[in-house]
Amino acid sequence: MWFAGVYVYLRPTTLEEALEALYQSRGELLAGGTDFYPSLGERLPAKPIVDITRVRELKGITRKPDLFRIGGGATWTELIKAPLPRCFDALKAAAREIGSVQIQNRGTVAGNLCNASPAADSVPALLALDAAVELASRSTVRRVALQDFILGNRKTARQADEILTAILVPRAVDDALSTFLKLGARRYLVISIAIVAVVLDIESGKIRDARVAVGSCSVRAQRLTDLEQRLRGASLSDIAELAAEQHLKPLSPIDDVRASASYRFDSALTLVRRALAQCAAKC
Amino acid sequence: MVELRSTGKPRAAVRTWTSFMTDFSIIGKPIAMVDAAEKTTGAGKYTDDLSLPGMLIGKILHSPHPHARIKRIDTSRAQKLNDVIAVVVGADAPNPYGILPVGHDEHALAIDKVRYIGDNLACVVAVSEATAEAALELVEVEYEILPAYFDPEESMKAESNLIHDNKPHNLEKDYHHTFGDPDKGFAQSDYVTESRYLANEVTHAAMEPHSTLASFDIDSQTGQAGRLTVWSSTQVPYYLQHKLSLVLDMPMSQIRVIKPLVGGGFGGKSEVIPLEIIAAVAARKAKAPVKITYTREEVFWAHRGRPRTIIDLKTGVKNDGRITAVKARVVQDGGAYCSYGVVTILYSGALLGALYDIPNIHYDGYRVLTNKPACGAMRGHGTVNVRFAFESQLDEIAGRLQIDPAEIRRRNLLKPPCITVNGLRVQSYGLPECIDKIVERSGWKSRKGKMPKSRGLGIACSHYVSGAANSIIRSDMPHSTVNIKIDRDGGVVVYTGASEIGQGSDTMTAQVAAETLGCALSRIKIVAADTDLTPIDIGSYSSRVTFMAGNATMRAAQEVKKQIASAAAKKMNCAPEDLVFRDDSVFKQSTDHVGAGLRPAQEEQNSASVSGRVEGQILRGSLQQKRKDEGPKDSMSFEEAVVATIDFHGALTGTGSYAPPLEARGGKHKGGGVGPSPAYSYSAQVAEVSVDEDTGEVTVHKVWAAHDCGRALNPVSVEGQIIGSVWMGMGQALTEEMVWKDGLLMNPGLLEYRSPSSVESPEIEPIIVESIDPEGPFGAKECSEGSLAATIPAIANAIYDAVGIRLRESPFTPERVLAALRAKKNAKTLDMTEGVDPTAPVRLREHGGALWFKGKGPERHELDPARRTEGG
Ligand SMILES: Cc1cc2nc3c(=O)[nH]c(=O)nc-3n(C[C@H](O)[C@H](O)[C@H](O)COP(=O)(O)OP(=O)(O)OC[C@H]3O[C@@H](n4cnc5c(N)ncnc54)[C@H](O)[C@@H]3O)c2cc1C
Repeated sequence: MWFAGVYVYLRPTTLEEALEALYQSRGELLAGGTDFYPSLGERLPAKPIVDITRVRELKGITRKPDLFRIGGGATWTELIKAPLPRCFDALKAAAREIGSVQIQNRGTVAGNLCNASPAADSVPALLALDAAVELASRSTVRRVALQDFILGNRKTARQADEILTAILVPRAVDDALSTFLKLGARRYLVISIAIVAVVLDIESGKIRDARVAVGSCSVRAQRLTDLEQRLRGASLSDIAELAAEQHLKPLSPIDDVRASASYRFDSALTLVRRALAQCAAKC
Repeated sequence: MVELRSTGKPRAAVRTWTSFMTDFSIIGKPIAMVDAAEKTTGAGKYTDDLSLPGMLIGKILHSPHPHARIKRIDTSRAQKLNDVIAVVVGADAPNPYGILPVGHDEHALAIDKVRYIGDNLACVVAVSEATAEAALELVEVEYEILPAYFDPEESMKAESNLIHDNKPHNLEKDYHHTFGDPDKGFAQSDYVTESRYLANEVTHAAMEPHSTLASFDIDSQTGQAGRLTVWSSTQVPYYLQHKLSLVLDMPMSQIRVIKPLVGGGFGGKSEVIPLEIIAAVAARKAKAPVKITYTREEVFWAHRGRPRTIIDLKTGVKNDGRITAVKARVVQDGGAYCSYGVVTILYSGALLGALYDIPNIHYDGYRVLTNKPACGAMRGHGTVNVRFAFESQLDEIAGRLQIDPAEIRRRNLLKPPCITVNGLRVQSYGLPECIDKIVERSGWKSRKGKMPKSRGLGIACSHYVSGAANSIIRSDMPHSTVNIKIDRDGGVVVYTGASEIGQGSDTMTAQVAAETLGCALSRIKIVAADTDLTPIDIGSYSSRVTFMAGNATMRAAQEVKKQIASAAAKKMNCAPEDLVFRDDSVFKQSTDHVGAGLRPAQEEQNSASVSGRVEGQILRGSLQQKRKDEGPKDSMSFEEAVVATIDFHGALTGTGSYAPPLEARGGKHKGGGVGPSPAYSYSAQVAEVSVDEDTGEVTVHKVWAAHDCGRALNPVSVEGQIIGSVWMGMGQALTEEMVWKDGLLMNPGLLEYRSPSSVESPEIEPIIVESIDPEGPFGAKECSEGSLAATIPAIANAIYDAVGIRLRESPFTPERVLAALRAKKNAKTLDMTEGVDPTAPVRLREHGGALWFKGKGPERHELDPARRTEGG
């Protein structure tokens, strides 16, 4: 922020300006600031700040023939209010449980992804929707599957000069049912112990397609592909019973102040079963 | 228990809202706090809101080691940094201090040793916070690392490398009390049970972080530093004045302590916190005003919360549920300094006594030093963890003997007025009504045992002192003194040393003064907690303010009222005793007045001495002459009566004070000074919970909380205190826990130290029971602490009722609950370390309370002392 003795805070209003500002200043992007400032703790920001909250192109959520486009500046509140098909129910449920209403008004979905916390609440739901992100720099625009975008704890495939301009959700399963469950040591204002999102595409009482993703139980959220495989073609009754411990292999939970690995693992299975049952019950 | 006399006394009344409205005009009404507007609009000033010209900022360097000798401390690099004005170290304030006279083991800044991660080493004073922080990095400290102690039972075995050289085996203090004949009591019992309970460590988490601003005047005669003024977030301004005087080697008369608005204390500000002394020492060295405000993390290090406690409890009963004997061994993990520790460990034993009639008690209490932040006083001081064990065990016994848990409590009631076996005098006792009320309101009889699956009801009781009958520093001084001054405009100024910390002290004072004087509440102005202006009051702790400062206020008001009455009586041609003061007027008892027909306020009977003023001053002014000409009247406005008095007496002032009566000061045994109180509050609660048997999550659906507070001076405020206590108790029961790893606090922030939020709050139904205490002001007792302790066992007992597991380690986190459920069902167990079993805990684990905690904490801030060593 102090740049050769000068305080640098830039607030561009167009994407072009923003990309230029980011490139020139080698600064950090600031959206809602709900991860940015807390992570500073008591410190002052060390780099120039490029505030993208006024960038026009990043606003809004739009419906395209083949996909939904969640702007890189869209807040949780905008997401909650947007008219979206059923398959977004899980993501919306996640949004409603983020922090508090104040946090939902400021915080952005893109910020949640770029911050790449293992406990980011939107990631399992977006993974289950096969989402991708659009990254723009001064010279390029590229599209990266969310699976490949989040690399680890606070690590993403984003280059320093790139802005996440949109989250793209293909319209493959608009009418699928979806459910989100989160376990925390407190109802709100808590970092989740386990997060589960389930999307079930159902055709005449049978599961055509199933996506199950679990967060907070590994450095990045994971799809449970073996379980998804097992679910495809299955009938809805007793669906919860199909989930078993062996399906949780992709998970590698840790011990920390919130919970032990053992408890995380255990409750993840409980949550997966519940989410499946609740999702099927919506049918 | 010794019964003092048999009583035909009516039982305590349970008040409904409408019944509050009758006898009095100001008290008993649900009025808004007098400081509500300034707090809710943000206009009110807390210490950190204050600023002085030329004010500097202080930042403290904390120890990264739990136990180390300081070999060298070099501040020269820090001192050279631009805009750094001074760097203060231990040598600048070598005098030791501590809140208890027996515990002067602290230094503002470490002299030779650091004793916990977070201990205070140096303070940089700079023009800005950023500079001060940068300079902290430049202070060089060389340590000789010493072995550290984190587990109290291990610590007690220490032979060398003691935490304090004068405390062998790191034992701060131990007490061994026997009352009655416990061996005989157990021999007479039909059933005996014994278990170990563990209560993990919790802290206050008050909203306002500690803050202190210190400034020296320049003495006009010498040109040197003169008087010191300190504004501080404190519950105990007079103790602060005393300790500042000790450490700074200044007479108390040269020190003024002012308490601005305080954003919650809960005991965390009821002793002198290092920053309060450091700010003053720094201001002296920097020759400028210095402000220090703790970060939230520093608040956690300052701590002084409720210690982790091991309780080995044994209870013997007859088949009918009557308790014959209790034996308790309590070990408290006290942290690195004495703080209030000696008092805490005594309360744990003493308040086993005044709730039920227990004929034989044996108590062994150990307050142990460990290399962690010092524990101190916290809401329900000393009583909470033992109460959790006791009420859980009683529930277990009730189950075993197939007696209803509410009934077993009724069978063990005291018969007041009485003296308990350990010498506590009990007069008013609303516990039976509290139990009746919650049983009735919760539908206990019809619902208990018939709840849906995984849902249950639990009951528990608790009590607390209405102020300690003996002050920390033993003396015959009254515990509270209040001055009242009334001006010719009829404005009443009450000067009280009592500390408003959000609990409603100022509001209580205003209500008591207005009720006693019979004047409008709007006439009262409170000047509080300023050592230059207000008479001494020992502070806001042990729930003493309403009882003691309330009595002092009442007596001061009575003294003034007496003067007004005698002047007004002359005007009205009647005897002073015939006058009634009410609704902002003074009238003859027989007069047909709005308030007439009511009995004179009872306080008139307890006459106070008339201050020695000379009557018969010459009447001046035409108004008075005119009134005189009009002849005697039947009533006067309060203002007219005041004017008449002032014209007779000159300035109208009065003083009242309160000292607990000798009979209430307890037994003569060693340590018998802690526990006695002029009156005890009583609580009974029923909690309704459900347990998610797959995740172990506990949801509290409703808590019925009855509290006997004597007379409720302000029912809405009493309800607020009951609700707050239940909430805080629920935090300790379910989510709050300080997690340690090698002496490092792993969750020093409000994100991971999880107090319940409004979303987790169950419906809480506060029920006020009024036992009208014979010595409380208008019959009032405490209402802010006693309810907390009942909540934890009520929830534990409800969990047992819901799913049949008896949790003996708090908090009852989802993991602990799930582990216990799995063990009970012989189902797949969770991977536990050290064979931890929340239903039969063995010992406090070095690596903190969190079950099976063996991982990393949250990423640490770079200024975190724990990281500073890694980075060098
Ligand atoms: C009290 C509180 C409660 C919270 N509760 C939750 C919760 O329940 N669940 C949860 O998942 N999270 C929670 N969070 C975290 C946070 O609110 C979310 O992660 C939020 O979505 C972050 O968005 P933001 O716009 O505030 O990001 P910022 O803080 O502004 O930015 C976060 C990071 O992303 C980068 N960034 C932001 N936007 C872009 C972009 N368009 N392109 C490239 N980089 C970008 C920034 O440079 C920064 O590194 C909570 C935070 C707080 C303070």
